[in-house]
Amino acid sequence: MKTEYTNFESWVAVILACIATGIWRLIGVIFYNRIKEDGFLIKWINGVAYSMVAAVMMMILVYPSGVLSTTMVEHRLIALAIGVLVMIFLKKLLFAILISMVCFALLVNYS
Amino acid sequence: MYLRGIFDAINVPGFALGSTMMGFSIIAKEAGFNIWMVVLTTASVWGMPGQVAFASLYAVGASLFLIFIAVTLANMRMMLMVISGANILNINKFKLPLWKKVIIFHLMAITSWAQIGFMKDQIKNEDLIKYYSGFSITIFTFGILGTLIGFYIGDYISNGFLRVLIFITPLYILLLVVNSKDHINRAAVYTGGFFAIIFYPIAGTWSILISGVLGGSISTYLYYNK
Repeated sequence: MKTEYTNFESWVAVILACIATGIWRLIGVIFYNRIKEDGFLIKWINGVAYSMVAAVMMMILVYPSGVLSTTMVEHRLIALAIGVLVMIFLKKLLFAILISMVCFALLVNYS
Repeated sequence: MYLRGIFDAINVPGFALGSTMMGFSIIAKEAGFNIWMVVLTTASVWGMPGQVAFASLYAVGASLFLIFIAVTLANMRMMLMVISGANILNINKFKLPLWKKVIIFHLMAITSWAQIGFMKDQIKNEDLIKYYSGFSITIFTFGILGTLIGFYIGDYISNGFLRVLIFITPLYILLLVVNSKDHINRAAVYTGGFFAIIFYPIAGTWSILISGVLGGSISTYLYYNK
């Protein structure tokens, strides 16, 4: 369901986002010598967090809105796949971003 | 030692973070944020995946509840980062008041956390917190500058260049998480990404929550204790 936000709701959204982050940092600061980093619950929550982050990013790349939606999904996915492969095999983040970005620029502007 | 932190930050880390914040700012402006909302989000959330999740869900008109859940879960790793960072900095030793610790760890982002992990064997423990302070404040400044530049740059550059700039942000985050050392997290990235593609046409923005829980649970089940 798409919502049109009022100005008030927009600011509530920003404040909620601040709280949603601040709360974790605060819990970390208060309980850092009492929480086990490798317990099952923490592992699961962290797994869900990683999975959700990937889900949001794939949503942006596969079903984008705005300027990115003027490009072809094949181009975005090919460039992403190249970046992931470079990252997996060479483990160089900046190099992987650069290669993927150049591929995307070439595909979008010259194919 | 503060200066060393500052100089190390005015290098690849600062510029990389500045340009991804620029990408975030462009996405947020497209989503309908005004300049104050964008800057406040960067300054107060200070975690790229959560920020981009926020702006992207806002752009598609998701409910405030879903935005809150998504940003909460996307930034849950902050707690783990703070726990790990507090141990690296040996923060107990300094007997700091809570408000100072809150400020110190508010400034912690993946970049500064990774940097102190890398530097801890090269710098004396008493000096590491000074190094971290210099580094993280500089990175923060770069992030805010990137956000400001990103908000206005869209009016001055071509559409072709803008598309590439917007592409960098989700790309950067995906490459960062896909490189996680933990098997569970790595598997969660692949499964979550896959499920989002499948479920989005059926469930809309709720697919984020569904994909997160499904992907995270399957990965934890498969890799916990392995």
